[in-house]
Amino acid sequence: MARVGRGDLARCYVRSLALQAAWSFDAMQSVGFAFVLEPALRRIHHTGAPLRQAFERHLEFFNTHPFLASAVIGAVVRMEEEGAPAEEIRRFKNALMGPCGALGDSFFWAGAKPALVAAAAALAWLGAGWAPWAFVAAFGTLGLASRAVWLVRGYRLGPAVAEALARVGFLGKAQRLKDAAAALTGLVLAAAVGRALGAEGAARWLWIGGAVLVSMVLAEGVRRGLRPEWAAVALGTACLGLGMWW
Amino acid sequence: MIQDWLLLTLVGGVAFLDRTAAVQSMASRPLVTGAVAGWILGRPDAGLLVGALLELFWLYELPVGAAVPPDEAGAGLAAAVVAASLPDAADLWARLGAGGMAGLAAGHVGGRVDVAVRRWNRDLVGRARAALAAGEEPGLGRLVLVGGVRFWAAGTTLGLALAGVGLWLGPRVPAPAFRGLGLLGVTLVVLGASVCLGRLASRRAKGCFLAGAMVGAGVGKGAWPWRG
Repeated sequence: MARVGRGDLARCYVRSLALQAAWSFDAMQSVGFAFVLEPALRRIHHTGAPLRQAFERHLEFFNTHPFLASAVIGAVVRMEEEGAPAEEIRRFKNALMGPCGALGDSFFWAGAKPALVAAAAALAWLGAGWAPWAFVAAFGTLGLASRAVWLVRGYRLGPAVAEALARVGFLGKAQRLKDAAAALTGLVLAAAVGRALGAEGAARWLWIGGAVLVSMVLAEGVRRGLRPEWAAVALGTACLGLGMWW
Repeated sequence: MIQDWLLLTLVGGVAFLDRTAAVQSMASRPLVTGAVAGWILGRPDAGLLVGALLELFWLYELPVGAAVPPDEAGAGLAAAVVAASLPDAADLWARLGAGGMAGLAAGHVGGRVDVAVRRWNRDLVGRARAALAAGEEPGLGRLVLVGGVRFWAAGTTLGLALAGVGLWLGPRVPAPAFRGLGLLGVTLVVLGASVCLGRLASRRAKGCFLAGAMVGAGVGKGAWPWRG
């Protein structure tokens, strides 16, 4: 079997940016996964029945976090290259997609994204008009770099990439990012309320303290199942009524 | 006016594509789409801040498994269009109140559209498997392109509709409603912060939130009277 070169891996990387373009509820990322692997599979299996069989096994159900999918892709390329049995490749994909999804969701979606968004929102409230562009640059770089790093590590390590993923400590880092996001949300609230009321000195602290207290009470309601959208409709009606009457 | 509408539609299509189908650079977040739409309509401050407001509501709505969160991209766009096109007499907070409510509604409409596109894409894997069963190559590049075009077309259509409704509705908001909308703008910020805190639901998060609020109160203008 032919070896996969840097060019083939680079093509897989570029294609990984469209991993979810054909996302559907029943097959999820399967079409995208086979599409990302295509340059490597063509190099390894050339054409004919072996190539079609490889496409067939990679069109099976697959879904994980789009950034950490690169680790699975890299490892699968390595396994295909080494001629691993189809059943072994299938077992590896099925075993890794769940943990990759859980780690990626907690670190990227529930950790890094809220922390960076909250930082950008806080900067926006403090008057920095460039905050959204800094956010896109930071998160975009994180996403592109993670995809590249895990694709290469997956290819180098093969199935051992699972241990490399476990060693990173995504969950601990996600928790620290969640704490940062909570602190930045508090900062956003104080900056916004302070700006809205324009109060100074003790009055400012009292208003902000009141807003923080109300938001903590409402947070308890949200935790117990209060629907924010319905709360917004109720508050909107009350505010409009109050504004007209006052 | 038509030029602005077309630009906003373009932003809607690209942002919807970025949200799921391609790259996921998070240029689809309301903070970004709101800022771009506000800039197009000549009120960058209102667009940026209404986007920052909406972020608080959907920061922890995650696209996990088959869950499809509300469409933040369209929400930011609609919110900024309404906020920016309110009559000149409206202050920033009235813009945030009106835009925030428009964005919350638009997010849920966009979420339904997203679900419809994902259902529509169900045929793609079947087409690939049918080609393989017939002894042909599956044409994966074409299938991925079809899926991406469907996401883009849905986002563009949604952007066209949301921007159109926002541009029509914004200037028609009556002046007597501005005071109530201003009050709503502040209230939505408090509610949004509580949504974030409620989703985190831990004692440690509450401590961090309080610490952040104290820093925010302390760094603002006029926080310390002796500093002038």
